[in-house]
Amino acid sequence: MKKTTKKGIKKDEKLHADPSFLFGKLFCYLFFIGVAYYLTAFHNYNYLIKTEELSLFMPTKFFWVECMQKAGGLLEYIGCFLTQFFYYPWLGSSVFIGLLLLLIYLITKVFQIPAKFFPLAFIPSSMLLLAFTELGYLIYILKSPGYAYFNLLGILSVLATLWGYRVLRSWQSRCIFAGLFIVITYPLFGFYTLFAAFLCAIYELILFTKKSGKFYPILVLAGLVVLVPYIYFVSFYTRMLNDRIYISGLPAFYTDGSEHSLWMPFVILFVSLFLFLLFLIKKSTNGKSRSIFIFCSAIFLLTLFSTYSYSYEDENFRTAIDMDLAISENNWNGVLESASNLEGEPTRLIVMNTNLALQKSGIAGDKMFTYKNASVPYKSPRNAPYLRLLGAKSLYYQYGDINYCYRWCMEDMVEYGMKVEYLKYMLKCSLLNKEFPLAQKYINYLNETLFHKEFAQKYQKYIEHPKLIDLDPEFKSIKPLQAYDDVLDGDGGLLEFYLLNNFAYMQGGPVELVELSLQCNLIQKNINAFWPRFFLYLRSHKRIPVHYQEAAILYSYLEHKVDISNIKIDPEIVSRFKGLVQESERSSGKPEEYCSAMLKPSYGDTFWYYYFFVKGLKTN
Amino acid sequence: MNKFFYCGLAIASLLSSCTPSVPEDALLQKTAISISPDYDKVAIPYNIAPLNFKIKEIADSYVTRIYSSKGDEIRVEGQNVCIDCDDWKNLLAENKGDTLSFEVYLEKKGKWLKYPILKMLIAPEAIDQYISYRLIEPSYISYETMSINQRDLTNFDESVIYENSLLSDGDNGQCINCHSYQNYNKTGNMQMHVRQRMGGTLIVTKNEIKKVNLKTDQTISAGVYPSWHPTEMLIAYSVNETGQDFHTKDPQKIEVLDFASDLILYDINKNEIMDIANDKNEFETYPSWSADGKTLYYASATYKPKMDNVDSDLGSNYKQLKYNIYSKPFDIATRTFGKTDTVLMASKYGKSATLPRQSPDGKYLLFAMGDYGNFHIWHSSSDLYLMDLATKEVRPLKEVNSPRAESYHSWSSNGRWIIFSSRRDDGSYTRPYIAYFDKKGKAYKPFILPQKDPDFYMQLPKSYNIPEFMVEPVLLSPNSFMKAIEKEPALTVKHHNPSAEVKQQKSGKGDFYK
Repeated sequence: MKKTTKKGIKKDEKLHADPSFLFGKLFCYLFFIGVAYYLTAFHNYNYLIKTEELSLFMPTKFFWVECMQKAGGLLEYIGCFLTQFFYYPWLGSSVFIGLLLLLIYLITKVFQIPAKFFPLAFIPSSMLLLAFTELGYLIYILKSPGYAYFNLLGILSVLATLWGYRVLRSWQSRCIFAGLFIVITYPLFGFYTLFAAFLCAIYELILFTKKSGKFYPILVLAGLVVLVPYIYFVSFYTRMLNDRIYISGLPAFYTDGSEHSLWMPFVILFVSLFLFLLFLIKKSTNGKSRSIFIFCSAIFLLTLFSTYSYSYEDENFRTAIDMDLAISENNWNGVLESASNLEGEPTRLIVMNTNLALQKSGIAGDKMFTYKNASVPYKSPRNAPYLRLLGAKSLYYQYGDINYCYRWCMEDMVEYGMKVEYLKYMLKCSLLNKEFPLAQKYINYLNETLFHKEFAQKYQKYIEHPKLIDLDPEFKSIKPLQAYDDVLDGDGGLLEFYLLNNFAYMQGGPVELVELSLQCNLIQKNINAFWPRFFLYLRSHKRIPVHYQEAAILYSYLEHKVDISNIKIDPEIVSRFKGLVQESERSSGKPEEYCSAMLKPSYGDTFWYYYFFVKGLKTN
Repeated sequence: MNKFFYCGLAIASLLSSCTPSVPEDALLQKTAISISPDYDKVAIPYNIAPLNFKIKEIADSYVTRIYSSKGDEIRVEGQNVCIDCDDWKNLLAENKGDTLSFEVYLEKKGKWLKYPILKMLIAPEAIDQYISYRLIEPSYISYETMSINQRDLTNFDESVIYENSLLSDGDNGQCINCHSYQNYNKTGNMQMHVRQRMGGTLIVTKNEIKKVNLKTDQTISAGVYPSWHPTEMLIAYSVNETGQDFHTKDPQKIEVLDFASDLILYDINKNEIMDIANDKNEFETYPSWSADGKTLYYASATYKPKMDNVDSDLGSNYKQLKYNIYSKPFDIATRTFGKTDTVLMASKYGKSATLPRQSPDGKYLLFAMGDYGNFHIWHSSSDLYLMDLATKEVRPLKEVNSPRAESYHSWSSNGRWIIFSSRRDDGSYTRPYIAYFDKKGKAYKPFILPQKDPDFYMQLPKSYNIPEFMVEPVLLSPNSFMKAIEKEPALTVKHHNPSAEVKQQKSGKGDFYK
């Protein structure tokens, strides 16, 4: 038992009640809440929505059994449940922050943190907040279901356990508690059971040094920590890697050093909890309470500042998520707005999404080369095919490659687990393929969720009345793009490469396909393929979009093979082209970079600039 | 004494009040009630687990009455009809060969409705107690968790034989497949493949496990599709170069193709393999022993490429690849094969036949046949067909087939039950179906493997792969398999080339329809 003088307790209680300390505590709470809300619902609104979409919870026995296939299953189950509330970001944030505040409260109670050290109690919660906001692209591939809450709930369970352990007076009862606790809760909490046992053992050691504890509970704890996971592994679990039985529940970050920054919040979290045990050794009764409080407040502010600084921030990632949500709502203006607002250079995903929105809006022919075009790498500590991961489902779906959309939903479902996003696309693909029993299966899954029943019910009607499929605006925009014969093929995971080639090689078909083919050949700078598709386009269109005119005039100028004198080229475009030719001649002999820089201000929004100067784009 | 009597009376009253009463004034309906799974008019073994089902109608109350000509009837309340195991067993055991009737009553707005009786035939023959299968998503290239499980058919007990998660680590994944047993696992001899991480083939004999590498310089791959000889320590394998391509539009979604395949025989005791068939113009695959072990059946397609690039050629002309069924006699004493016989020239009829399996009594050959190719689970045209080996007459098992794919199948040890893979439910997720096959050669409407929860299959996002009957369960623990797999490197095998070559002659003896 902790030895604290009555005088010490009274003094601490007084401090807690002191108005200046009260104000200080209030400041800490409010500041923390403000920063937490800023980093979640305010600044990462769409990130929260996406987090929910990349998760799944079903209140079925099957889902429960699946969660319990590994130690820590209960945390996963509850974690997935709570993640649902990110569907409404402010609600989800409130739940999340509420639990972080509960954690702070428990820390102060369990470790009996003196008033002057109170701000330090915010460190674990800050680290758990950072653990969630630091992920970035990893939310798509991290194999840690319910991640946002898993570790938070785990730490709460640790504190509850330590609190329970502390109130037991006799070493015998602590031995029994330790035994029962580890045996019963290892399947539920996994690693966090073992961590709780570790803290209990350290606490017992503290008592032992103060001669109020015994060594037996430490032996029981240590022995069971080693034995219980192993016994469970050999006799019960078949879905756990034997190397992970002692760390089951920790996030699936790499341990080869490449993701050390992701581990840091956890390291700080565990170390801080370990160090808080020092408060149980001796209660400080010295003076200088105010200065210690100020010092601790400085640490608190530093921690929060670090949380803010190290939270993932990348314009392309943010734009990608914004675009993804806009695409799912067929909000093409929203996609284009996101593209326009991009200040830096885009990733290929941004470029492809922009082109998709332009095509769906019917203005690609006028605008596709006016937007930024680059191939900035995806800012993530882990190498992964992010273009395929983030873009394959939506792009294949919107471009009518239904089977390929379905394929990548299935492949990702196999690898990363079932998620709302995958189910939605699989449902829609099944409807387009008229596979109604299959669509029904995915509807049934979505019907089990809290917030996607309405989505499921909408498409349930399509099964009952298949004619609604033909009337659906989204399906209507996709169907013309499916006017091709079936072939056996494969994209090799190369999304942009496959889509470009696939459409570029198409000949004829509905006007939508003809135009798409024309655009892809423009992107590929394929002069020979351009002309037949251009003339085919002219047959069904009176107006020629700007970029097609630009291409026609350029190609005709370069090769002198095709006579465009009978084609109505806009005089302004002709004039502009002449200007380009003149300026190019003036820059003749100069390095390409010089010419590019010279011409970009005046011609950067033309196909001509793209043709001559946009090169070396890396895609997959 | 009186106290005991009244206590007993009270207990009896309490118990009887738990048994739902059947409404006497229910209105008889004309349309049949819809249930899930559909168990109406199926034939079931008397030792099967309860066929729990869900009534697919919304009502205020539900009562189901289950009875036959003898024994106590069973009454169940609720939309999910979950039947007590013991009551079910007793009822079935007393009524072998008889009909089992299900009366369904629904209460709607205070009125009880009675629906036309659902019936099942209780077959007089038992079914093998166990089956095993692999559980895996109906995916394409990627895999994550998969397991080979075994299930007790007399109840709902299921256990894992081995799960790949025990040794799969992130990008170092491990695929497991092709579990196969000698003689329904009566001998305890079995095998399965482990691919990629710590890959090899596990051979289980006398409760010990060894890991072998069946790939040699002379073979195109390690052993793939296995078939244990019923009595000898021999396993016939195909060796395959397999790939898959994706349909851009066809809802069948993928096509799995062999770009080359041959047959080999592995002698477990000698740790040797020898060639059975490796004609360059033939894709020999899916070996299967006859019940007496004196004949080896297999499927083979003749392939002469039209282009230099085999991949492109097959990718364009995959529908021209048609498999026929052949057999080779096998001399157990000398371990040699005789001349090839043609069992069925399916290609002559524009079809492709695979997975030949002879019935345990030697009378019939069951196989899957579709329009082309060999990986029929992806072909909705694939159905099960039966050949009478005496008359060579072939017929589709119409009682069993569905508009969607039927594929991998196996016979029970007494030849009265067939278990097979089917995608009839939704076209994508493979489910195990069991059909009765009586002594007269008649098949009956199949039933899906029963589960405790009637909604189980709707929730399960995995397919059942390679369902196989077993008389005895696998007794080794997953950890035992794990330890065997961890032993590196795998034992290499020798490739034995017999001095006498067996000439392959193909004679056309199979008639398709009569």
